[in-house]
Amino acid sequence: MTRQEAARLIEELFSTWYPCLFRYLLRWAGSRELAEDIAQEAFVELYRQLARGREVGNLQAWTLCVARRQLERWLRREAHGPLAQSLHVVELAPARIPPWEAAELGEITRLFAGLSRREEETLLLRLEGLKYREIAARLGISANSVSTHLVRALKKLRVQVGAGVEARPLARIVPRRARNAY
Amino acid sequence: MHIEDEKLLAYLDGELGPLDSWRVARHLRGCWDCRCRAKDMEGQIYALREAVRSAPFPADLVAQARLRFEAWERTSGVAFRRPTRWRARVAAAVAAMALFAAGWRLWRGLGSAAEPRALLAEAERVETGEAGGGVVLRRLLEVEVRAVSGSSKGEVEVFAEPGGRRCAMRWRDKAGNLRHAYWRPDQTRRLRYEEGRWMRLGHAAVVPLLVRLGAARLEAAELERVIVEWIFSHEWHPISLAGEVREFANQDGVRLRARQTAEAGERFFLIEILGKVGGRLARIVLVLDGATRRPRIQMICLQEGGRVAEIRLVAARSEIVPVTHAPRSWFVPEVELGRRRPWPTRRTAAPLPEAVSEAELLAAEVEALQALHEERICLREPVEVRRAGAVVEVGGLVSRQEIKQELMARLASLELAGVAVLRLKTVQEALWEGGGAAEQVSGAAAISPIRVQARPRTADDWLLAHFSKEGALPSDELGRRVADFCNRAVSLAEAALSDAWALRRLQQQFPAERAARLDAKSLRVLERLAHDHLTELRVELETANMLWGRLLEEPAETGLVVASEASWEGLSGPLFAAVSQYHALVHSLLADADGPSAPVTISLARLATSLRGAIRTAETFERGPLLATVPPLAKQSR
Repeated sequence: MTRQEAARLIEELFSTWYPCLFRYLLRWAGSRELAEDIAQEAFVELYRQLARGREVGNLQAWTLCVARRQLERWLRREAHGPLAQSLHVVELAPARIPPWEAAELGEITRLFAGLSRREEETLLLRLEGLKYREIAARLGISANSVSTHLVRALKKLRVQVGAGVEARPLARIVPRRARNAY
Repeated sequence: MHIEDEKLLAYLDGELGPLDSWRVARHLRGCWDCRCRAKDMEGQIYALREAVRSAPFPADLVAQARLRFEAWERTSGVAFRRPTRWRARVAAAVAAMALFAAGWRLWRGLGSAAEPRALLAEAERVETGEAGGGVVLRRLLEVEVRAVSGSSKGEVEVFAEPGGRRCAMRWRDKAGNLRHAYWRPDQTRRLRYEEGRWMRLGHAAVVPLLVRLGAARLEAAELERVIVEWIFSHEWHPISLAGEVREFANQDGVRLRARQTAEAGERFFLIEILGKVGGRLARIVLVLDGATRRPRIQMICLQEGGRVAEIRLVAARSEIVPVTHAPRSWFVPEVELGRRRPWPTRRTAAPLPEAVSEAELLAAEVEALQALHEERICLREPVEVRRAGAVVEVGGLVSRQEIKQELMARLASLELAGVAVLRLKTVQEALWEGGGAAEQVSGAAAISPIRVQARPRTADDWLLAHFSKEGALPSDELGRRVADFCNRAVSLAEAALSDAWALRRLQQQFPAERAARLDAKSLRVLERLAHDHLTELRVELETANMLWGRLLEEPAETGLVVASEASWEGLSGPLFAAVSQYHALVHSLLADADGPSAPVTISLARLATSLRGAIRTAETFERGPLLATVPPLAKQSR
């Protein structure tokens, strides 16, 4: 891949994917600066990999996973010092977003606030069009848990979104049966 | 037994195995509740996706991040690598091995397969220069392939033999290499290209589509017409009419989504067709011009996992150049180095035995009927079993390839024994076939046009009034109850009609004197089939009776249409008449936009008469002569 191609990809990613990634990071990192730093890190890492000639299948999913690892590392270091970095003992809790930022970032931020981290990650990856087993491989869970998380996320969102998204059908038209084709 | 959410979601996402997904699809066909839930889920995911994509986000945040990244890029000095030394070594080794292999092949004198490039050069030379035999069509399609990692424009050249039996095509890939593939419309899977590797997504699925168009000699405008006709020739069940996005599904699980949008002051309809093509999600977007109502293809898109390939027909034109001579080598299927496999020869039908006895033929007929019954084709697909000379012919249209395969496999033993001939086609095949296609299309379009009407019905007020008697309810709860009631009533009437109809067809095919000639086993099977339908029918009618119970008055005993004689013929006719009257009344009351012709109360009285008359007749039927030997409670699982 040439430099121009990589630059174009990154450019496109900034306009389509950056808002989503930033929202996710902000919710779990809690500070705007940290979220910006980690997003930057993820993009830089992507650029490096592209420069090395690596094939990255789904750029969005790839950056999300890199950012997620970075975030974990950073928060562990914050909470427990450098020794805890390699231990998977810290369960991340959602950070509080300052309300003015939440308002600025729009409805979506409030919408996702009820989801757990896994649910949000699964949902984001699913919305990016990954298959369950790909999501499972990236998040280190089983494919069955992927569908469980997804269903749970959808249920929670349904409660929050309410009638806005849900729409019951009404049988107004019932087409004729195939018997007419004889 | 309904399907749990996880499974339903996995089904919608195409994550289930073939068996599971078949099961879920079968359940969904018959269960309005689960269809509603599935639609809800899809709508939610769709809405979420749109919301996440289009959510407002402060532009300066993105701009800052971009600036920061650019600043880093300028100072970082990341170098874009050329292939490294070890890669070069591997490449050299591979080249050496290839040379060695080629030399060895030459030395052994094996295989005379021409080099692909030479082949194509030859083809081109012949095409431009020589004169000769039949006329071959050469088409030039301009396409643009868009994938996540960038787009490319190109041309695909398609060669098709007269009649479209064999096709060849070639195009240049991104690296500028000439690729080519050979293709038979009836053998969709055998597609290869130069290096003998499988084609990549963008080509593997879309190029054959274009080639198939080429084979059917369709222009882009024609393609649009075909798609629209395909839409019109299917039944579309409404999934949702609420909101701006209206969604329908047909019985193959293909979804159609129509959205009215306005851009730059101009209104148009966006029609999306979503369906699975071998595990991929295929999406065809049509734009219906608001003024002229003419459809225009906007995009054909295939999606698999995270990868997307879109094809836009950049130029809505394709050029057809008659070529005077078609060298055989164009259509040689395999250009793989080393070995050559012949095309599989067409299976010839086994010769007919000298004489097949009448009893055997009758038994074969019943067996074929049983196969149709067990695949549940007797209820919904236009497939017929009839006598053609000295064989039994099973012919007609089925909706999908899988159903056809299953049926062919089931009936293979009959075919091999020489008593049956199978003439089954999928709807697609019938459409793609040459001469008959036009009639088929126009016939299908005339039969079941889609009807999209969303006016409130006259029965709505009456139903609302009835349900609000039960106590004060919030208006959306009330609306939901009315909708549930309508859905269930219409579904039950549909199911009852198809069962009554299947029963009547059985009777028409085997009237009493013909049934008397059957041997004991076949008679037993026939009884079982009839009994199956009758049991289902009675359950459906009784359920409908309970559902309507409070709404219907008890009809006068004299008004009931009860069969006069308890014979096989005397019963199935009146039963079908009663059920179809009941079905028509339910339709006119609940599903027709124009509403019933008579006032609602009169329609209800008629409905009560026909429904209870049908139940009474079905009861008589069960005691009738043909079914007398079947124990009434024994139920065969289908």
